[in-house]
Amino acid sequence: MIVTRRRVVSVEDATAKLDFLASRCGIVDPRYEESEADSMSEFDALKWTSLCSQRIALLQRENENSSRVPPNFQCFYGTKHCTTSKPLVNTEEGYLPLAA
Amino acid sequence: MRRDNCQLAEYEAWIESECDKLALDPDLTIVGPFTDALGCPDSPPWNSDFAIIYPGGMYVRVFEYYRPLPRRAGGGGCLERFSYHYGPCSTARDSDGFPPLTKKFELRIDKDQRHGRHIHYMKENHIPEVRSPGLDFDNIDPFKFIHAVEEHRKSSVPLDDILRFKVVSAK
Repeated sequence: MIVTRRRVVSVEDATAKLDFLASRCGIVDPRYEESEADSMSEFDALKWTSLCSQRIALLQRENENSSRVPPNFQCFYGTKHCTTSKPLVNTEEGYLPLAA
Repeated sequence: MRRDNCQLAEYEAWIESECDKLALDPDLTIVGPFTDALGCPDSPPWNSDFAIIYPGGMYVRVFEYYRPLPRRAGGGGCLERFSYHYGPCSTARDSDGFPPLTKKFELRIDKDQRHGRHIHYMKENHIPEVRSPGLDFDNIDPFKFIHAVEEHRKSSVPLDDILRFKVVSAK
């Protein structure tokens, strides 16, 4: 028997499931908090609390992703360590070639 | 034995190995096992959901929720809530194939936020752990529950005898 990992839903999917559960349980304007499960049957409460956790985790992940530097900018900022160029020193030989 | 402080892949491996040990009749329907990674793909929190639907309108459904432990405690998943249910079901099925949840039960062993550790048995709801001595909430797992139901179905021995607990009347 193989365990199937179900699709990780989006915040919108999790919220829609919570809204459906809330309307079935007579909760108006849900706040998506675990404490709202207090008025539900146990199975609904289990589903509600796990969906709340899922929604929070998905929101956190969305926030983490949005705060990351986008790939295009990574090109500019780069991942290589900084290097220090040699100081230019005037010599008797005149100008140093640019591509030295 | 249940893995604690583990990652989702280890948990799934445990579920698969225990499922493979089940000697189930071919005429029943198995739904799942499913896992839902609720945060990062391989880390806690996660859910698992699993059902065995027997011919004749009875079914087992197990649901578990693992929360993340703090990083200093290992950072793995720790079982926080569960529901192991055996009872009648209708012929309706949800999109995953599970029978809709109902309040009818023969035995349900729960740990949840509102009632803590408790059982539903002999048509009585929310029997707290202190009134069900012998039931080992620390070591019960979905597969011990399923094995007990299988034995009960084959032998008609009451589930409290198989799981070695008794229900003490409320004072």
